[in-house]
Amino acid sequence: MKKFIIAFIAAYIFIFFWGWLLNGVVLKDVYAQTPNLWRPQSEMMSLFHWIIIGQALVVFAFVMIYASGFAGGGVAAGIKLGVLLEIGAIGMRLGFYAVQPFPGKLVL
Amino acid sequence: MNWKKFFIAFFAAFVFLFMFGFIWYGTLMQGAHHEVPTLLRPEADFKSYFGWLILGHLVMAFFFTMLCVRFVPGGGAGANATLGILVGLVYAGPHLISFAVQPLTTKIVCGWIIGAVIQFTVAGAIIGLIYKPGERTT
Repeated sequence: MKKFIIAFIAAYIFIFFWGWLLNGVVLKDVYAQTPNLWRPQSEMMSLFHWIIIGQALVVFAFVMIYASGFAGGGVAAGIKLGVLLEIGAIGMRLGFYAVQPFPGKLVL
Repeated sequence: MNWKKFFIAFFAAFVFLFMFGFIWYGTLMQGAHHEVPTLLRPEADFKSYFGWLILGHLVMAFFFTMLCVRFVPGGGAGANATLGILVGLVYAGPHLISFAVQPLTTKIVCGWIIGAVIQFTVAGAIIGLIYKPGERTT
């Protein structure tokens, strides 16, 4: 349980900062091209807790899959699990690209 | 790995994921989606992007099948459904994030989350029923 919590916190910190770097910095200009798809900044800030809960849910389920022994053990197993889940998530994003008018650059 | 069984499981998972998506998101949630028309492509536009929807489902089905086959060596519908619940939760998290950044309604985000968990749980059970470890040939 102790290791689970440590792994959860470490993975959460990484996901949070990666999300901020990718979406808040690198892709900022791409998001700005489609303002009609996004909430205004002030509204987003008032709903910021949902970003934290959403990321926590992703990390919790990910660590649960790893800790349940599905992936085996070790760094390589964690990476393999991450790669398979992320490629599956790319499939989900392609589905969203088909139904929502996101710019292709954002999906890429 | 028994590739023949793998591809049958992958195809079955793809058919289920696609049909469930059509019924759940495209039919049952159609009214909820119409509440946010600016967030969705117009019907004609959507048709020209339909190939992306199919490709997305193929990618999801392929890698979810791979995940089940690789990570549930014991096989079985129950264990794969458990993995499916967890994978559904991994993919449900981004829907909560979307709710914070996009003007989605609560009804839509709840529908997407419940849909993702059901979709991957059942898909996992289907894969577990088709790809049985005793039939492995390596």
